[in-house]
Order: sequence, then structure tokens, then C-alpha cells
Amino acid sequence: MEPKLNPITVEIIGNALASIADEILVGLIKSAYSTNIKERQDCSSVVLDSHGQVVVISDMSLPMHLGSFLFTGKALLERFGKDDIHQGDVFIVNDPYSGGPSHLADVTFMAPVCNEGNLIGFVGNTGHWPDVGGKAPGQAALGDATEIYQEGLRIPPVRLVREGEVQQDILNMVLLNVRDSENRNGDIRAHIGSVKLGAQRLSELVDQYGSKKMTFALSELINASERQARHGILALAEGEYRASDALDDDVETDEPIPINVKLVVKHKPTPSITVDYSGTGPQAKFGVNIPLHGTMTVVLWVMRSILDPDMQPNAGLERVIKVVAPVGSLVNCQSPAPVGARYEVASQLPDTLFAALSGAITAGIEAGGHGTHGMGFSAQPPNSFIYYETVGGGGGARPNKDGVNGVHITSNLPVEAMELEFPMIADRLEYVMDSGGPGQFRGGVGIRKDWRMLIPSYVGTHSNRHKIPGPGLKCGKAGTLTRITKDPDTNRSTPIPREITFLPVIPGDVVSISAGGGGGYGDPNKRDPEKVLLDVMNGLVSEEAALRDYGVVLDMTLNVVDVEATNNLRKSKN
Amino acid sequence: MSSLRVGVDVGGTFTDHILLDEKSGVILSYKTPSTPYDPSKSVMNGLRYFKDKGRGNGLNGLWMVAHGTTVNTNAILERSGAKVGLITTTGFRDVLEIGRQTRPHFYKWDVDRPDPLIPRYLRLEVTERINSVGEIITPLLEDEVWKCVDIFKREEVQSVAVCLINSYTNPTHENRIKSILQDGLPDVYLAISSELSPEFREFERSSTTAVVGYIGPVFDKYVNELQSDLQKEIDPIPALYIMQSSGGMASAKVEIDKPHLTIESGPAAGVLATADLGGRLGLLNMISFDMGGTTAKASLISDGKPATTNMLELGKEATGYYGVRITGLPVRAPSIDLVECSAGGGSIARVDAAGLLKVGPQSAGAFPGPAAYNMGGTEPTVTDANVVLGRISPDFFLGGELDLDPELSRHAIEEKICSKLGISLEAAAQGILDIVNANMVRILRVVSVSRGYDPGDFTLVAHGGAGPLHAGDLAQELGLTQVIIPPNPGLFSAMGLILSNIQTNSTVTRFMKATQNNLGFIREALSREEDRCRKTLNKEGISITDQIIEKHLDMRYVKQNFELEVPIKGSIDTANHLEEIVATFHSIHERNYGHSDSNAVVEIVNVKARGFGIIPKPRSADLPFGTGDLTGALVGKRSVFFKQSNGWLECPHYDRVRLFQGDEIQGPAMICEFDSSVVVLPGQKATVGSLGELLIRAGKEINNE
Repeated sequence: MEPKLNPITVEIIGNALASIADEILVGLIKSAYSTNIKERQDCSSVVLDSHGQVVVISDMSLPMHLGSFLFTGKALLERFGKDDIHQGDVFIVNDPYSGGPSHLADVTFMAPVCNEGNLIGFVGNTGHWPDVGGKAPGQAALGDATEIYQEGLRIPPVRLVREGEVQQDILNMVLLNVRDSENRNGDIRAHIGSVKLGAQRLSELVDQYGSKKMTFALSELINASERQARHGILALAEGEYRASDALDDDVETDEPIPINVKLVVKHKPTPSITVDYSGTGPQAKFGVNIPLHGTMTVVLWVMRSILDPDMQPNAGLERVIKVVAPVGSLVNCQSPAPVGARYEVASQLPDTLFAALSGAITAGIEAGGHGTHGMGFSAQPPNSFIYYETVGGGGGARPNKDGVNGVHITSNLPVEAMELEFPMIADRLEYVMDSGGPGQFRGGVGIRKDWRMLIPSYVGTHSNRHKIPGPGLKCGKAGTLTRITKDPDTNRSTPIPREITFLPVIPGDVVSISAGGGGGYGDPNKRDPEKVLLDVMNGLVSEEAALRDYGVVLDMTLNVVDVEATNNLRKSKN
Repeated sequence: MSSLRVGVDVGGTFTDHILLDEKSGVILSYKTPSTPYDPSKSVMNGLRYFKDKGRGNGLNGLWMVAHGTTVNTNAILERSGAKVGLITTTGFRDVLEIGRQTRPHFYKWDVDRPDPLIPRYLRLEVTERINSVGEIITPLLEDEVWKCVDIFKREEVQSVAVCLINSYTNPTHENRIKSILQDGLPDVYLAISSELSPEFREFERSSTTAVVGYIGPVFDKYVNELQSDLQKEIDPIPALYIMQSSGGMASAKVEIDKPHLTIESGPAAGVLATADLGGRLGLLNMISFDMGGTTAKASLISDGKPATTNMLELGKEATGYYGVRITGLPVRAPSIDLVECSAGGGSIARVDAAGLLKVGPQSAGAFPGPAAYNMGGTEPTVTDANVVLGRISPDFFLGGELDLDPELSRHAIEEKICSKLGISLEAAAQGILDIVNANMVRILRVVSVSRGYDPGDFTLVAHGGAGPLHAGDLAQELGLTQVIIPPNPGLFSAMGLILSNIQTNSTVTRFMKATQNNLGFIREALSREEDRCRKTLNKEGISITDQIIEKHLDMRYVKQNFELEVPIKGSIDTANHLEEIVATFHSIHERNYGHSDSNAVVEIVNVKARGFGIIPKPRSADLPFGTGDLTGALVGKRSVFFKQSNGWLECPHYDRVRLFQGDEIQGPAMICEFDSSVVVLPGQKATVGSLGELLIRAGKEINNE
């Protein structure tokens, strides 16, 4: 018989689970060793139920990491069975084709919680390691790995800690297969320590409420998300909404890979949305592919944003949103396709979904963004180091305001933190003028970052929107393209490809990225001329662009808009 | 002769004054409406009250005005600070705006990072560069600094912030820029990063410097005006002290150039008062819990000391995790570690789309206020739920000054909650309390459990207008064994102001391994920081016998980036002592993060000292013992709903000021006073202590349903 629980207790338990997830994440960040986790905070945490379904993620979790948790619990149950999963165990997994995260670099840890021998659920975390082995340091093989085997060590769900005892032989095997193993060992301790704390907290909560009530509350929290999602769908008009975009190329050739999406919104029999990627191009030879659960993750991320940002993106939301993706396509690649740079496609999927949804709603969406830009630097022994960072570009403009300037889903690394640990000097970190797509609301501007090498090193890149910029919406114009350059602003200046594994650089060389801007929203001729003036004063838009893109005539000796000239110019443009 | 002190706490609604006569120990209080358009007005209003009414000897002999202010916080929240210019290293003028480049909310795409306090056109660059070990790799081009001077003159900035890359390792260039600015812009306020926050991470340092540039002129003006008012009206002029976020006082003269240290000025005082009360009662481990109209704040006191943090984030939805996923404006300043949530008497309850009951973060505020106030509010609030369940006595509410209408509370809850959830009035009202309590339990857990402490080892000290109403339930939820309600809980923060010591902090970043060969360096660095503290205390006029110095090292495993503070007892003279310190670090690490590694190398990041100047504490006489007969304090019987018994219980209703030491009250019962009511739950027992505090001990175990 089901215990009776009122919605208030369910809410209270939900809050308690959220605070457990927060604690796990903070513990991981504060005690980790790699800059990727401790400074860039590229990590997340979760609570699952006994069926392995996601119930709660920490609000501080990265949306992309939901993919690290969607199938992990289920994979553990399939492999080990409920009876062979015990309190005190910690499992590790990173293989996307074995129920793990969506690329090898996100290493996931899961600790079960039991009560009187019965499995209640799991707590887990995932962190983007700077290196997981493979043919080049720091995930740098993104540009030339053709199979996932080359991208790093593949770990299926494995029991790393057995009832409190670290399985040293397994740990040794993992550490032998990754570079910079001493620091990875520190990260592993932080991963295990924080899920251990989380498991202890969840156990206390189970003790407080009893396992029956807890199990019921977990399923009710999932049901609540389902109700929230269905309610949100009713606010969208029924119908089909389409949009397309494309990834720059498949790295092998110059051919762009099309991304096509069709959203089918239905109110009956129950509110639901089908997101159909039929017509999307085939999986590529190199690692720009995304596995199905990665695609699902982005869809759930966007759907939560649209339907009700305060809901938990858990299994309840999954019930309402159906994802159709052709097998063997860019968005549902098959083993052993490489997936290292899967965030490139992932970064464009929200753009496409928003573009489709712009037919249905005018709030909570954005024009196309800048994509993603990962920069890796490394050196071989004796001065070996591995360093990875993402660089922010412009967010797409919104229906009521400009796009976010210089933004990325993950954090940057402070320049001073970088210079303390790595043999490089940053020469600049600044906004790129005229990068935001013109519109009534301007796309966000991109960031330029320059690194000067102090020792012979290698550069690796993975970066998109080098050929196809973040599109505008409703007559807004596209943002700029991204460029990566060696020795910019000199006569030695040479372009660096968007996907490269080992580009040797020597002391004095400067590697520079100018990340693209976001797309604009609405007709640029309708932009408030005073906003254009402010942008020019702030050096985000040039005087020439004000005239060319916005039809605004300025007098910059007095910092004023020439209203009459502007009106005339704008009339003549129409 | 000089023996009077006044504590003044300016809050959002009321300004509270406490006057202490050090000789007699007599304490007088005064509550007056705050004057947000000119906060110094309500401060002076209260002082005038004491003076004109001839109370406190006409303020003859007033030597100290201890002040908790929100002037700095408000300048930032309302964006009413100074016009600031920034000078930074070429290539880095956008650091202040880019921050950590992430979105404040991953699912709300229309939420932006806070606008920078300095717009881009006022962020100027100069050619110079220092590397991470402090070497000058590009000399400063002074001509460019003079060009900045010209631009700032033309733009008529009121202050200039200077933050160069790696200046924390070598302040030479910032010093040079400062002296050029002093020459070129003599009337402009200067904020120099290497003076304010010489620690790594350029965004956090820039942000701190920008905040100082932004609030500095406002704070200067406020303090100067207040001082001139004091001079006009009180002879001889008392010294003005400002409460800092750290929980210590600094005289306005000595540390006026560090306004960022006072951002949590008011809330810190309540925590201080808690620590002092605990000290007098022999309690070392407490959770200070302050609940007002819109927010609740929790803070941990362990071993008699309030927990502290080195950074605040302004404009961040408080999670209690400053510095993790930075989305606000970071300010590096030692602060009492307060965790806030939007939960107060005015928090509004509603049923959301999924049919779940939610409370807050919206608040009915002071106007229109809860429905019961009959000032036009129609949304059900936490206060309304308390009224409906009989937990607030209309006769006692603010001494009966405000008429509460329970009928309006009932109506609001029935219309907005009961009808949607199909539940009874009691269930809905109790549900509102359960949810707001759960939110508060969460912050109480953040400060305790999340930091590795078992709340069961702590006493909950509940204050603020609404704190005592909820304390009993919170204690049960958390498994706390005892709760203390101080006398005059609504004036507790003002009390904290006259209890606070003078405090100064000094920190230097000094990376070194915690190994024997660094013993000399560690010792030297610690004593240098100690000297700096003593110098400030000397300036404050604190005699050496009244000075106390505490020393700490911020430590971590090599390769980590977050540090843990390890206290240092005495001076580090031997390798053994250093080993003990490292062992302490391992155990603190284990407690916080669930793991430690005694083989790993530990490094020191910051060397810190805190200096205290001891100020005599008021020590009122103990409350006399009563006979144990409560009839003199009994004002009647009330019917109150308790979830513990799932029904209405008749309970006695006592007037707190008529209780005596040793009196015992068995729950269920209500104890009321001017500014709050205490609910003693069935099974709990309240005992009146020697200082007039109520000690409530838990009885029954939790009942979940």
C-alpha cells in the first residue's frame, strides 16, 4: 500500500534533496585538484531514485551534464542488479556507449544509498577532467581521432569502491591510463569524498522519513515535473514548428552538416512535444558527433527553460518530451564514432530549437549564439602541463533585450590563476567590437583572448561557428564568425583551424581567439538610436557600423545622435 | 565620567537605539521609524530622544556611538553610488564585466549578470605588466596615466579604481599610478586594489576595488555628515564607530577608507549579540537565527566564535556558497558567514502550476503587509498563517499598536490556497508554516550540516521579530535539543552593537609549503601581520593590555584552489608545532569534504591576523528569582493549532515581562512581549534563565505527518 504523503512533505523532501546535491557539488569544487573543476567548475551533481531515474540535480549543475546522469543509474542496475549494489560502494563510468556521460572527459561517480538492504537511490557527480588518456593530451585529439578508442580510456560502469574500500587495482589501472595521474588521483579523492558525504546525508534523510515515504516522495517529485511540463505545453499553440542550422563542416571536408528540427506540439490526448531531427546530416568521421542522450539532454535543458524554469529536469520531463533522431546521424551517432567535441553540436541545438519556437512564443528565447570554443595547451615532459579553457562569445539577442556579452556555459580560468600554474602569459581578455549581430536588440559581443607562450608547447582547438554564424531572428542579422589566429596583428599572422590536435608553438608565439557574436533580434533600423550611441561610446559598436548596420548618424564630438539625419537615412533604407 | 555608549541599528523599517550606562549597567532602548531618504536622521532622532527626555543623563558622558548601517548596501542595491573610472592593464578593461563569463541562471535565458559598477567608456588602460612572481615585464608608461587623468577630469568622475594584473604580487605600478592620480585629481576618491585586497584572481580583486570606488564617496559623505551632526548636538563629541561585516567595530576615523568591510554591518551585530549571550551562559556552540519581515538569516557559532567567510557576493540569490559559480558582484572582505533566504513574516504563499504550495520569495513587505494588517494586502502571508493558527495574539502585537484582523487572514488563505488544494484552513495554514520552516531549515543546515557540523550539538538562538514564533518547530525539524530566546528579541541586533569589540584584520598572500624549512618565513609573516593589527589597535587608542591577537593560516593541498582556515595558537617555534598545524588541516579537510590525505603536501596561501580591542561589556544584574507561581504572568487562555497534536489546544498565555528567573512553563503555551511571541510546543518546556532568556528544551521526537 502506498503511504499517504501530502504535497507539502514532498516539497520539503525535494528541498532537502536539492541541498544534498548542492553539498556534493561544493565539496567537489572546493577539494578538487584540476583547474577544470576547482576554477572552471565544469562539474555537476545529482540524486537518482532506485530505478536510476533522475530526480533532482543541483541548481549549480551544468545543463549539459544532465546527460551524464540520464542513463547511468539504469546502466548500473542492468550490470550489477539491485542485490549487488551496496551502501558504501562508489561506481565510476565515463563511456557514452555504456550508459555513461556524453563524452569521455566527463567522468561520473555514483554512490548508492540503501536502507535495511533495500536500494533507495543514488547520489552522483560528474566532472570534466583535463585528461582521460588517448592519443593526445587534454582531449586535444578532437581534431583527428576517428574512433572513440583514440579519445581516451573508456570506463564502463565499474565498482571503484566496494563497501567503503577503494579497489586499488582498478584505481591503478585508471591512473596508469591518464596523463598527470597525480592530480587525477586528487580529483578522484574529491569525487569520492563528496559523493560519500552526499550518500550519508541521503541516508540520514531516509532515516528521518522512512524508506517507504522516501521512495514515494521520489516518485512524486518526478510526477510533479511531469505535471509542470504538461501545464507549460498548454501555453504553446498546437502545431508544427521547424528550423534549420548547420555545423560548419565535418572536419574532413568543407561540407557543412545540416541540422534540421521539427517540433510537434500536441495538447491531446495529453500535452506532449515531439522533437524530430529527421533530415539532420550523418555522423562525421571526427569527434563532432553527439550521442542520443547528449541530444536529449539539450532538448530537456531547453524545454525546462521554456516550459517552467523552476521545474526539475527529471524523468517526469522525459515522459513528456519525445526525441526522434535518425540512427547514425550527427545527433545520434553510433559506437565507435568519436564524440569528444560533442558540445559543438550541443551548443547549436538550443539555437535551432529557439528558432523553431520563435513561431510560437516571444519570451524566453534567444537568437543564435556563438557556439563553443575550447582551447587546449600542453607540453611534453620534462615541463609537461595540460590546460584547457573555454572562451565566451556573444549570446543571441532576446525579444526584449540585447544578447549577453561574452558568455559561455562554463567558467573561464582567471588570468592570474592561469599564470600561477601554467607557462603562459595572457595578453588580453576583452570584448570584440562589432561582433554582435545587428538587430532592434543587438546580439551579445564575443571575447578575444590572447595567450603568449613561455615554453615550447602544443595548441589544440575545438571551436565552431567559423563558417556559419549565429543566426538572427525576426529580421535580426547574424553575429560574426569566430577566428583563431597565431600572432595576430603582425605580418606573421596565420589562421589556426577550428579543429586541430597538435600545433607546435614556441616561446614568444601568441595564440589568439576572437569568439563570434550572437545573432540580433528584430530589425536593426528599429533600434533605439540612443542605444546605438551608448554602444559606440562603450566601443562595442563602431561609428561606421552604427551608420551601416543601424542607419544611425552620430556626432561623437558631442556624444549625441543626429536625429534628423538618422530619420532621413532610415527612411531612405526602407 | 565618560561612561555612556549608544548602539544604533538602522533597519529597513525601524531604527533601534540602545543606551548603556557602563557604570550602573542600566540599559535603555528606543525604537523609531527609519528615514531611508537620509538615514542619519533617524540615528539623530533617537539620540535626541535620549537627550531631550533627560534620559541617560542628557547624554552627558556619551563617548561611543556604535553604528550598524545599510548605507553601503543600499548604494549598491539602488545603484546610487559614485561615478567611477577604472585604470587597468592594457588588454584587460573588460575583466570587470566578463567576470567568470557564465550565465547567472542556466534555465532563465533572460536573466543577466549584474551590470558592472563602472561602464566600459570609463574603463581605461595603461601599458604595463607584472608577472605572477612579481617581476616587472613591461614598465609602466606614465604618460598614459596622465592621459587617463585628462579623461577622468573631463568626465568629472568622483572616484577612480585602480586594478592591474598581478598587482597582488608587486604593487609598484599601482602605487605610482596612485601618486599621479593624487597629483592630477586631488579631490577624487581613490581605490587601489593592492591596498584593498592583495590576493590573486583578477575579477574578484577588480570587483572589490570597483565596489570601494562606488560606495566610498557615499560612505565618506554619510559618515562626515553624521559626525558633524554629532558635533553640533552633543558635547563633547562622542567617537563614531561603524560595525563591520566581520562582527567587529572600527572607528569611523581609522577605517573609513575601507567601506567594503561594512556591507553586512547590521546583520553581523545580531550574530555578535548571540555569541556574547552564549559566552555569559556558558554555551560555545550556537546557531544564530534572525527572522524579520522579508528575510531570515542564519549563522554558526562554534567554540564561541562566529563562522566567517572571506568573500561576499552582492546581488546573488543566497545559496550560502559564495565564490562557487560566481554570479553576483564579489567583494573580498572578512565577514560573518551569514546565509539568507527569502522567508519572513511577509513572505507570500501561493499554489503553483503543478499544484504545489510555494512560499516566497515575494514578500508583502511593510506595505501592504500581511492581509491581517488590514492595509490592503490580500495575499496570504506567513504572518497570516500564524494568525489563523492562533500563534500571534492580536492584543499583544506591537503592544497592541497595530490591530490585527484574523478574519482577513482566514479569507486570504481560504481563497488563495484552500480552494485550489481542496484542504482545510488549518491544513493550508500549517502547510504554509511547514514550507517556510523547510526553507529556513535549509539555511540552518547550510551553516551547520553542510559545513560538517551536527546541528544536534548546537543551541538555536532565535531573534528578530518573527524568529521566536518559528524557533520551536525549527528545532524539532533539525533535531536540536535546545532553543534560547533572548530578552527583547526584536532589539537584539542593536544590543550586539554595544557588545562588540574593536576589530581589525590583516591578510597577506604568501605561497609556501608547510614544511620545516619554511618555519622561519611562516613565523616572520605571522608576526608581521600581528604588528599591522597592533598598529591599527594603537591608532584606535586601545591599550596593549586590552589587545588580543588571533593568527590563522589559510591552507590547502598543493594543486587545490580553495583554502581552509587553520587557527594558530602561540607562535610556531618548533617543527612539532608545524606538524600539529598540518594535522589540524587534515582533520578540518576531512570534516568539510569527506576525505583527506596525510601523505599529500600542504601549502600555505594566506597568512592572517585578527586584532581585537576589548570593550567593556554591559553586565546587567541577574533577573530575580520568582516563587515558581505563574499566575501573576498569566494573561489568559488561547486556542492554538499544533501540528504535533494535529488539532487545537487550549494553552495558557503569559506576559514575558512578568516572568522571573526559574519560572518553568510547560508546553503547549504562548509567551508574548512587545515585539514578538514565543510558541512553546506540546512536550517542550521553557525555563526563564538568569538573564531573562527563555530556554526551551525539546521533548517529543519529530512527527513527520
